[in-house]
Amino acid sequence: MTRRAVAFDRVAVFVSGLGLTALGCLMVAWRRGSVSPSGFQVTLATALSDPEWTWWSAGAGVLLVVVGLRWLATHHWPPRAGRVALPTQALKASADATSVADAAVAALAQDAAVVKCSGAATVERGVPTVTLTATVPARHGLDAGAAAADRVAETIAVMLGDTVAVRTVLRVDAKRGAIVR
Amino acid sequence: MTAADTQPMATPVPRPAPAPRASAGASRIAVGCAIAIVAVGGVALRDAALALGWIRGGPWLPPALRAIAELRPAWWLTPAGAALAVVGVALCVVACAPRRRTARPLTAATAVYVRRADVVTVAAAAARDVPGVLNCRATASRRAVTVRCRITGGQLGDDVRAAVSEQLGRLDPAPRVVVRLRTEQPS
Repeated sequence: MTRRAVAFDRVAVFVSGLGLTALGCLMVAWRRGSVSPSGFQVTLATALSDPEWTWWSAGAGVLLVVVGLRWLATHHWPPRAGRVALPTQALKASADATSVADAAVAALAQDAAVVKCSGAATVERGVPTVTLTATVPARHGLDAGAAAADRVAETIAVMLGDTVAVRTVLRVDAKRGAIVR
Repeated sequence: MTAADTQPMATPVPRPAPAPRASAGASRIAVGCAIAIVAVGGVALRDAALALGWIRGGPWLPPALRAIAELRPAWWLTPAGAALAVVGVALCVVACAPRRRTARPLTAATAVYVRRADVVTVAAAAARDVPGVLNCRATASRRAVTVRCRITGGQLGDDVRAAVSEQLGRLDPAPRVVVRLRTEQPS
């Protein structure tokens, strides 16, 4: 999701909350006799008896379906990163970010501390981001896993510079009791 | 040979990616709202198709709207209105709430995180390795990790605390370790 989509969600939910709060207060006030929605009810009854109600209904239905589907479409996974430019001055070269992530996974998986490993290259806030997820044993796994992640991330930095951001998330396998170091 | 030639090359460090976070609560509610909007639109289209004679059946929207138009003040308006207001305030709070961090940072040269649930796993495993500990459960808050152990006896509090602190020493910041012990006689 983009930051704009999240901001839109927040504003929409906030406005909906304000609307529901106002509606609830109106209902309580109506019961107490402070307000009367008779004008709104008359308008609604008139609209229902309007011969063009069918077309209003069809138009509103199309509009609501389109708006709802467009809103739903903004809730997608972050897009995959494409090619990233290599920090070379001699020639213009680029590398496939997904292949970089796959190579990093292969390198990380070779470490004895890592039980399982996966990776993905996505675009987050406009920056190609490689996310590595490694499973380590519960005992001494954090130290060994962090050291292995540092080595792999530094190798990526040597190859690609700071054109990509790197993040490693460690998971812990409680069933693995082996002490790594 | 210059002084610069003799200096060791600095290890390049990649750009750190931001900490993983859960999706915003507002986004989850928004998905529900979007689905509801599509559903209402679908019902409106169905009623339109019904009026045009394309399908058979009874209309759904006009009876519902007519019920609203003919609504009169009743006792249930007060609790229903109060409930709606509470839900509305809750929505406003959720809309403003920041996204929750799903992982905690580790002390490392690059951006390395461990999932919050796994901090508990590591703490419990470390405590179980202490001789004399029969079983152990752990819970973690933002700043502290609490381990509750059943032990055979003796003063094991410091040992358990040291073992857990050693395993979680990489967390940044290192959490406060609270140990609760309960002595049990093995049957």
